[in-house]
Amino acid sequence: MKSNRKIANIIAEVLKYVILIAGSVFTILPFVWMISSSLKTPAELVQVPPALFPEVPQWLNYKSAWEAAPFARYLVNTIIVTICTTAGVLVTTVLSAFAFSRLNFPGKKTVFSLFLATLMIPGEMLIITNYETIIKLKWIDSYRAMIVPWISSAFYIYLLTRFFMQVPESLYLAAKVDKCSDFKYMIKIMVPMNKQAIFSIAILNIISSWNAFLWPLLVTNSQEMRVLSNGLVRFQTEAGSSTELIMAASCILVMPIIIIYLFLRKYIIEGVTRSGLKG
Amino acid sequence: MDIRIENLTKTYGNLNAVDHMNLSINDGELVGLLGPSGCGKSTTLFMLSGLTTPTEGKIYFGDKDVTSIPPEDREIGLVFQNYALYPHMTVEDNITFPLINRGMKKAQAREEAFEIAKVVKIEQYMKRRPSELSGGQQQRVAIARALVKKPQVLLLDEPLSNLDAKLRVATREEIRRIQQEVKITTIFVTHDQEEAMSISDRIAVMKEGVLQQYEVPQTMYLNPANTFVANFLGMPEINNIEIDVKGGVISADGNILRKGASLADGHYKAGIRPESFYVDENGAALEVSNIRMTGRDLLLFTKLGSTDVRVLVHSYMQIGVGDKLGVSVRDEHILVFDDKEVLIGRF
Repeated sequence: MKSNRKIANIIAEVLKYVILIAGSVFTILPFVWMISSSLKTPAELVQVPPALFPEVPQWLNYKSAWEAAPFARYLVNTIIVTICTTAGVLVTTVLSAFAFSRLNFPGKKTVFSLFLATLMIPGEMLIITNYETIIKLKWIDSYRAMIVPWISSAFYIYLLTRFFMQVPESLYLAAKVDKCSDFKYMIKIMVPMNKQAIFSIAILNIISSWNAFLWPLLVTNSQEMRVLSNGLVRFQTEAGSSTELIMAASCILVMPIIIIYLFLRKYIIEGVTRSGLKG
Repeated sequence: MDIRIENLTKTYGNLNAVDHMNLSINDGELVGLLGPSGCGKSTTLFMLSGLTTPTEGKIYFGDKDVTSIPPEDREIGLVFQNYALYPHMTVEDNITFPLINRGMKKAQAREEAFEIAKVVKIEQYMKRRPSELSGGQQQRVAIARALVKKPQVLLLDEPLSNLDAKLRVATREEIRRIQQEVKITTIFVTHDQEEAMSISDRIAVMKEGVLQQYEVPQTMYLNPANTFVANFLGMPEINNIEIDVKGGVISADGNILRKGASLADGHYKAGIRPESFYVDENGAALEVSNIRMTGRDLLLFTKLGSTDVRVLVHSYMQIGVGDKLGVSVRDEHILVFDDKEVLIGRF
């Protein structure tokens, strides 16, 4: 009986790992394929059966891809847009979340509900109206067209408001007695205490801003204003069938975001314990 | 710093959380605000701190009317029930926080923080985070943070309610010691009558926003102003009985409790504390229906006529359920109240 159960346990354990390994292989394989394809020769790419790794890595593919289109320019554009939208999102999110969670002003609940209601509107609808606004402002083909509509997010505000609300009121009152202004309280107590949530919001925003495709495509025309995602698609049509170059360009596109994620992950995990509070 | 509260009132909607309260506290006194939850004791404390604005009335610190002065300028130190320590800061940063906000240089703030940390005995934990400290240590950090700016008044909101029983007794002695050492006028809120009696110079008992009695603990225990105070103080609780007086003889359901009392004939409410009884063969014979061993004492559940009565006797007494015990009441230990439940006197 006992050994039967032991065997069952082992089988369950093995099964668990088989599923986990299968899951990770499924997730990682496209990336591996992308990287390996970017290092293949055109002949190796169409070879049947396909080889997982190229015989001689063609590092030159990267150089060719980099030179075939102004990727440096695209990269700079993407970085500018990502940094500006993320900085904007963090500022508006922290300020609004603080207002909604701690300050008392007339119509607070109504305004908060309106914020939440905007979450129900499909993104495509917003794109149409935002596009019209950008046209009216004559902002087409500029950085601000790519940045301004994205510097605040009702979802992030909602998320951070929830986090801020969990901070006990007594901390605020204690700070007040200690001669700490509302703004100082926000910067010195609320923000560091919710570092974890704020970093998560930053990462989510960096990723979505980096990967944004439709909006930059709509509001930019010239090559100088293109961001990486659009540039890659244009490159695909322009480069035609040079799949290895497209793959190399794709690697260039995703690499920074992976590096940023690995770097910030440390901060997310670090977290802040709230156990200094009881009751 | 003397404190004077005049006609202090706080109204929430139709509810008077604090109702025309008058109180004066002498410099250096430790005063306990005592009462059941919802009696307005915390509201009073928060009005003293300035975090709550009174609907009516005045608060004076010394001769100065502080009613409209914001909390940060009142020269108060406030300790919260949950300590409200900033969890992302070290103990030292927590303690220096009020000083640095007031524009003090970091080096000097650190020195002052260390001085006060020595008083509350946490100087060896300065570099730790609050989460790495025990409840009692966190409490001391909170007191140090409140005291570091050298306030005139220290306010403590239920300072002991988050601690376990043993630590609570030790910490309340600590609070008393620190208060004496710093010589600061201190007001603390509690719902624990034993806590209030053991360390306070004076106790203010509140009920439904109204101050019931403000007295030195011993006097209050012996002469409670009314039945509420009599019932609130003391563990096990006082026995509430009905008595009849005729020609100076006090009796309850036919059991004579006292002769020669100078009290007008009539029917009264009375209170007798469980420890006010003593064993007396000639006294009223009560049948024991239940026994609780509490350590130093035995608590006997009996009936005086039709009323349940608890009697405390020494724990080495040999007695069983169903036994009869003759008891009398010690002199001046029958508290007699009038029909408005106000104390007439002790008989």
